[in-house]
Amino acid sequence: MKRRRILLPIIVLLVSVAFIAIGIFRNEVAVVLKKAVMICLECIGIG
Amino acid sequence: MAENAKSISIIRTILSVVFGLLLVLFIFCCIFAKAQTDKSFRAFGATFLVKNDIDECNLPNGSLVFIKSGEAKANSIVAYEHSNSIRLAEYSYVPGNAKIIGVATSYIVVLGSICDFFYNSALAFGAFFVLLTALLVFLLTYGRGGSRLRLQTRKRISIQTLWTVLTNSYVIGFIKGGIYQGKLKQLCLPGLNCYSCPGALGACPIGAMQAALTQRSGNKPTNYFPFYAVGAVMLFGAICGRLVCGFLCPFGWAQELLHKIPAGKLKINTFKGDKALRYLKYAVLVVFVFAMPLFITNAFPWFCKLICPSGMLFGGIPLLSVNEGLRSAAGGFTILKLSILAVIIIASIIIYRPFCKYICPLGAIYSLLNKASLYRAYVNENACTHCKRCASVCKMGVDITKTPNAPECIRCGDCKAACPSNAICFSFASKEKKEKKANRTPKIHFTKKPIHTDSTK
Repeated sequence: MKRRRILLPIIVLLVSVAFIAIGIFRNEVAVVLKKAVMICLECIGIG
Repeated sequence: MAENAKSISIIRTILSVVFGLLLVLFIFCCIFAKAQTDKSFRAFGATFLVKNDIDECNLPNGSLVFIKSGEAKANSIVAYEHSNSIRLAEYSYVPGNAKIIGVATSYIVVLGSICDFFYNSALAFGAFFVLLTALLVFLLTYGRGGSRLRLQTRKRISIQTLWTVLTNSYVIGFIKGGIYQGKLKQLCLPGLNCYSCPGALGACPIGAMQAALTQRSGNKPTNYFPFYAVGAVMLFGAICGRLVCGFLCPFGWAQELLHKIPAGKLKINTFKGDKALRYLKYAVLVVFVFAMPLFITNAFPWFCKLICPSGMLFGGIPLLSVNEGLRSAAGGFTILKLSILAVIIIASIIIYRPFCKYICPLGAIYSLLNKASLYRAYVNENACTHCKRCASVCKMGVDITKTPNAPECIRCGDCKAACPSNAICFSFASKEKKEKKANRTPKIHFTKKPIHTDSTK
């Protein structure tokens, strides 16, 4: 139980870091930046 | 001492009344004034005496006429006049192919005109910020001193306020009606912080997920999974779980402040169907954040488009209030989202964090990660007296002694502050180490009640 309690967060942490790395590799950061620097019309109830 | 308490009580009452009036004014102006310049005005009870393709008609006194230009953008209103008779050809600013699209009767006109005045001047915008300021002042004057629980709440709200101000500190955006466009925007923030908020310095993780999923190459999605945004949320979740909801979410902060408004017996902790309704947020996450942006051909961030009240509160209202161009483009979706926001605002006064409990897709992800986070809750069973004080003070409805890391626990620390035997702690450290630390003798708490003796009586 104690081992699981320590292992689980570490696994999730590693997976999250891997996901971020994959995202950067797939150029998702640029997609996010492109979306975030424009006024999102859907978000403000126009689009 | 007693005089001090009385003056605080008077300040609280005055601020509550002022806040209540501002809230009513704010909702009224936003919904009604926008409706007045839109087709969905019908929904607010207007009687339409004439419809399309009429260029001359007689109207009752005080009627409001909506004129639509054939050359203007679809559904936009180019002019309106108070008149008892109208002939389009007489108005030079209306093109020849204009149409009257509707006429409202007088009582709606009066209400609409008042709202329109507030909305189209900067007053609605001002009211919005005065409202927030009033809330903050209210909060600061909300009983000085007090128990450990009250001090914990105050400490947490101070952290929330500081975080919200820090991550939304691009003041120029609020003044000019634009948004920050620097490179920091590629970083996902931990909370539900709309990237269209004029002050936002980072990206909303839920918006970022949908942005990745709506990318298309032809008709096919480019990304079937938003690795970057999900990874960022998982990282925050793996470190501290739903602590983000309790301490670092601007919309959680707004709901928290709204819940401070006294509402007497209207306030409810739980109701029939409360627990079942909490699963709704998982459905919102799957359907609106993942499935719809991915599978519907019209690639929209559907959660942002149809639901997100945070976007409307922190992005929509400040931008629409200052930016004339955006305001003229507002329409049916604006009404929909303002209505959702109004419902959430009212619900937040009655129920503690209704959006976090039932709708928030970001909260759904963090709640799944609550059991797998490094920062955890520990209960020392040897020290626990089973007095159930922790469960009674928990506004999220969690009994921490039964489920220390329940999905609904936002790690606000109220239970810890309320525990008379110090049996609860939140920490990154191991359970054994914390149990040792927690296993102390109970503290004696002093209250600030005035002591009445015979001489004082």
